[in-house]
Amino acid sequence: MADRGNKLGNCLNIALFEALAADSSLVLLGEDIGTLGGVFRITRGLKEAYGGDRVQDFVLAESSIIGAAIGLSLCGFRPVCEIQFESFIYPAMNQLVTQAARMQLRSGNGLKLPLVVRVPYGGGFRGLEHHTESNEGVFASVAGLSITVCSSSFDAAILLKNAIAMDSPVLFYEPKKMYWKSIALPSIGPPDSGLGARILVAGSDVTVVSYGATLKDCSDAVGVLADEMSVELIDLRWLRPLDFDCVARSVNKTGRLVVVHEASRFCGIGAEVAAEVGQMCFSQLKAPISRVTAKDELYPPSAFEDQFLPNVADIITAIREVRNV
Amino acid sequence: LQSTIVSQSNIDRRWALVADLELSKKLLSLMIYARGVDEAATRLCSRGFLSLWPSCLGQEAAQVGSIVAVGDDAYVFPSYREHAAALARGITPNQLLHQWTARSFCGWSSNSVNFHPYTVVVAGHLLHAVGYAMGLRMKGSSKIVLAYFGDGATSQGDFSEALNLAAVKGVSVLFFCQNNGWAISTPVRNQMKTSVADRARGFGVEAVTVDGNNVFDVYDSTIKAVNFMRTSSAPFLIEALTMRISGHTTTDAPDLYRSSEDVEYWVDLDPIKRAIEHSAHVPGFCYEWLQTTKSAVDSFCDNLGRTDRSGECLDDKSSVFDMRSIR
Repeated sequence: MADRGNKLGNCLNIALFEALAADSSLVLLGEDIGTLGGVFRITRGLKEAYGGDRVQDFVLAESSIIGAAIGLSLCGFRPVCEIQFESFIYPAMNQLVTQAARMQLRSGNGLKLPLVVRVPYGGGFRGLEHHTESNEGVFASVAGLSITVCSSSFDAAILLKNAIAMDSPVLFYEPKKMYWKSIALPSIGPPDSGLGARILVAGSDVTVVSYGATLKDCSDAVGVLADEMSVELIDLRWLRPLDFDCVARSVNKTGRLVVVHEASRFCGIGAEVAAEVGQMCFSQLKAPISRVTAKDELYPPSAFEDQFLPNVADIITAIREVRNV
Repeated sequence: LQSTIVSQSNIDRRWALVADLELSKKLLSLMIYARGVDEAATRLCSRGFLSLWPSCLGQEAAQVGSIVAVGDDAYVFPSYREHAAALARGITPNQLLHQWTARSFCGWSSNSVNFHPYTVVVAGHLLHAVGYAMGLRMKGSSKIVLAYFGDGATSQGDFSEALNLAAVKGVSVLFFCQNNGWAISTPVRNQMKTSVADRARGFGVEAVTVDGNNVFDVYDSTIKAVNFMRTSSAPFLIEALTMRISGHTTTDAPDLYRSSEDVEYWVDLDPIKRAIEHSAHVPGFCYEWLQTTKSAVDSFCDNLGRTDRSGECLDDKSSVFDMRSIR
């Protein structure tokens, strides 16, 4: 495989290559993932290496992809699906919510239903309508589904391997804007585990929690504020189950929390984090919990996305505000 | 639609192909057994033992004929009214009724009987059937998958997606439509403008329409469909024209939308009555056996779920009707 550096897209490609080698029951399904290697080239070279049964180009129908994957899983396979862009997942909503999420409870008897759905998501790259959204919160509200978001190249492989190893359905969100960029996040060495949240920067004055592409914005903000205060930056990694304990431990120390995500505010992950941490850390809080998110509007034509999405300046402002309470 | 397609000539056909006494008795006894359990379930529901019951009365031939024909190793994806098929596969009445006591979502272990839990959001399971068949082919297995669904489910997108995907992937799924005339209160004429079989052909899936109230016709058509799938690596669709005699469920009020004449017409075409009439032409068939069978089923069903109202008695999976007692 050509050297494409230590980029998120390449790490995912290698992780999938290794997963296919390690487990002959692993099957990839998706639109254009075979011969083309996916519209983002995340599955580049995999069909050549493992054949058209293991890496299946699928009909242009997301319900078919997820529905067939459920059937393959019931038949003893370990399917990993690719949804081409996050907003194309809605035709498969019924298969995910009424079928995949409920199948194990419905069947009883310890039925295993391994099923990973990779979802490239998010905007900030002047994308077309339905190619730029952040809908992870929609699925995080569904019991029976697990949701994880990879945010960096050093973390993607272990998160993906954990998702693949699970015997229940997982949505694996990938910030598409970051696939092939060189993005420097604070490197604290390889993670110990593919589960739970992870502290990227240790600090004592303010806790900042994020995931996905905005993690980089948070990291930049922390850098700008380095001379003013000490910020602790946490990568949530898993949205369901969400590692509230990690966040609460940090907030009990700092007394201040800013939650940052690219999705809109109303009923977003930030609301859930704020509610839970507000209860867990009530006596330790020194300022109201703050959220930095996209606006509560439909995603605009992307020439106007800069006014819609949160940015580094917004994050800096929010951190200063909670610090100054 | 049903009335016109199940023509009189079809109904009066003599079943030359059914000269097999053992097969006749097997199909007939399974239908009588299913009817007995179904009627017992309706009684249990009216007495509060079950929270709801969707009767399959009138559809016994379509279900028993098809599931016996595919054999025990075909994996089945039912919808939610496939009680006769479930019982014929060996799921016990207590296992079958368990979910209708609202104490679980499925009372049987799917892998031990190759019979998936019921799917309530109709047509979703048709794609699971295609995926399962894709998996069987990758394993090099010659087993087939049988997926049951109704006329209402054919309006769902997943029905069309499943036919298309099965055709494209060339996998052995037998799509078995029980066109029973009604989707709750909506008659077939308001559900579709072409037959289900015609639509299947449009996707490149071979299909036949059969008299779903003739168990021998269903059995024979299913055998032929399985042979076709085994030799051609392709799906197949059977549209069995039948009729739901009872309401959609025990909470339905069918008097509000269908006439008594319609019901009477189809009661005349009762699949068990017709199977008895035709079995009478099979050499060696005797009415004494029939009476013994009916009595055995009646006494078994009279005792189903009698002991308490909580439904806990249905947790006892040991209450099993011994089919051998009537063979």
